[in-house]
Amino acid sequence: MNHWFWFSASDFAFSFLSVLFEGIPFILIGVLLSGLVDVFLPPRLLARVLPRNPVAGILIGGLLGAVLPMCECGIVVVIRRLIRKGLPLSNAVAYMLAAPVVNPVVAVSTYAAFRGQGPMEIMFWRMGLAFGVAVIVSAIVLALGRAFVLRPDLQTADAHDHGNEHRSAADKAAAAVRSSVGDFLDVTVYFLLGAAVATLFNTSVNQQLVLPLAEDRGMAVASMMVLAGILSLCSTSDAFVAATFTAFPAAAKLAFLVFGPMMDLKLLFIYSLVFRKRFVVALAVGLFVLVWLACTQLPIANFRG
Amino acid sequence: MSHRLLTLLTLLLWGLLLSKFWLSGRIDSYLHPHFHPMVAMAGVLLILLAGLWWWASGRPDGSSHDCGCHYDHEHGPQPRSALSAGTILAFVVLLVPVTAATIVSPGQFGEAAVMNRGIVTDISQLPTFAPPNSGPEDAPPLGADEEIPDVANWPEDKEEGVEYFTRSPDGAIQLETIDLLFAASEPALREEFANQRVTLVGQYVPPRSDDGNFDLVRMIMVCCAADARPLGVKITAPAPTGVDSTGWVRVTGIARFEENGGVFEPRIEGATVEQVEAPRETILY
Repeated sequence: MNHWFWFSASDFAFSFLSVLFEGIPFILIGVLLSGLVDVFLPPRLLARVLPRNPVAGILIGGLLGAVLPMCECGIVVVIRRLIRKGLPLSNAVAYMLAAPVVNPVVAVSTYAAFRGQGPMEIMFWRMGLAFGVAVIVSAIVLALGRAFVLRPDLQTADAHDHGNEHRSAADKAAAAVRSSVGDFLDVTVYFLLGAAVATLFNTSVNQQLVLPLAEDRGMAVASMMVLAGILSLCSTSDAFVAATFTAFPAAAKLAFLVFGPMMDLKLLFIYSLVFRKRFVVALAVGLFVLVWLACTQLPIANFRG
Repeated sequence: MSHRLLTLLTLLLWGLLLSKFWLSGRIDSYLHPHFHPMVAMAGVLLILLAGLWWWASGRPDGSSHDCGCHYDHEHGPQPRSALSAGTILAFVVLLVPVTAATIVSPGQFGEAAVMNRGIVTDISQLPTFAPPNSGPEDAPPLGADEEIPDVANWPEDKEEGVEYFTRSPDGAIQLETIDLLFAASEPALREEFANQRVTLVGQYVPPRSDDGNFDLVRMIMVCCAADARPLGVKITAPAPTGVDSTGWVRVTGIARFEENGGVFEPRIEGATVEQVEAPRETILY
């Protein structure tokens, strides 16, 4: 088959619905958590409990997924709320980028998927690379500042409690519901747009065309990252798909596993809820370059056993 | 129509949609069973959230106070009442595509998706495949109530190999395409299944050349239909008449295994083909 594009509306609809059904429950968990954070987390509490040293804050943000695991669909709305509540931006970005990978669920699924292909090595490389990339990007975000990175409506953290201390329990519950529903509508619109674009590529583009790229390490890494961006898989399951690309070197599969949960077509849209468009573009390019450099320059062997 | 009502309708539509797919079993073709409870939970939560939204959006905010702040913001998220063009567009995005997709979706993939993903004929290309020669360290951990089987004293009446499978009334071994692909990867299983009469159900993919073969495929997913891959077996038989591309057929014939570039691939020879109803689970897990 030499075609590169073959569209079918029924295939699109089928795959599109499956992506929605898989993602919506996680988004729902994210927005419910976000609503509770909005109403019940006192402002400035985060500032009090987090370390004042920004580097320490970034490192903690990068490891937070180990105790507060979130997938990439649900985490954006949570960090939007946490930023409003005063979480330093660089800490939030470290958590956002690392948590979908650096968490126990993904560690187990990666290990299971790569049985026979060096599961322990792949798992540790994946966690380590994701953490490292998240820390580097967060340090750059720290230097860039909020004005370049955040949407204008998020650039000022809430300085006070929006009257929560004056509210009754019922009023607080109502406010949490309104906040959760508002977030659900916001993030679902972006999720739908991203899922539609990803599904179009996923069902209509001939995926066999990437296979000849496996022979050159640089091209293999780049093509697997592009594929991860297009497929927009959930980080809890993407390892099972990556493991099947047996023709590709381990470095390319790692690039797929590190880049995909940080940047894909649906995330391009969802990130626009929090970040300026120019930053989203810069983030996409920066992550691509960083992950490509890491996976082509580091001594990543083809693991076995 | 107000923002409040449109929000209510959106939450209800999504909640009812998820619940209906779960209750009707239609979700089976879309997601791995691990995710089914999540869908059921999300459906119920969204319906509950719709009720809570109607209650919450009708209440006063309850946060009126003189905080003296200088920020230009709302005190607590309030339901927006005016419907701007952007808001209307957002609701169109929230309501129309999912409704249209629900109507259009046939619950299975067609030829375009099968060809774009490429038919898998080598089991090692399959997600979750573990090599047959994996060591004991790769075996899944035993449950608390499980014991290590005594292979040395394996009872003769225990089923294994071809005897593990049920047979059709005419004696053919009932298999899935994945079973034949797995058998092809193992010398002992190849020997056992070769020249056996087998019967498989799958989707018919029309011939792509004049070699007298067509493909019988069955999709298999890891998480959801979006990651499903078509597993194919070559069928040597005339193309069935009156069967649409990716329509469901039962194929019965003799299993053979042929080496192709170092990989053994299964093929069914002398096959008879009959059209059948689509199975409940159009995609295997």
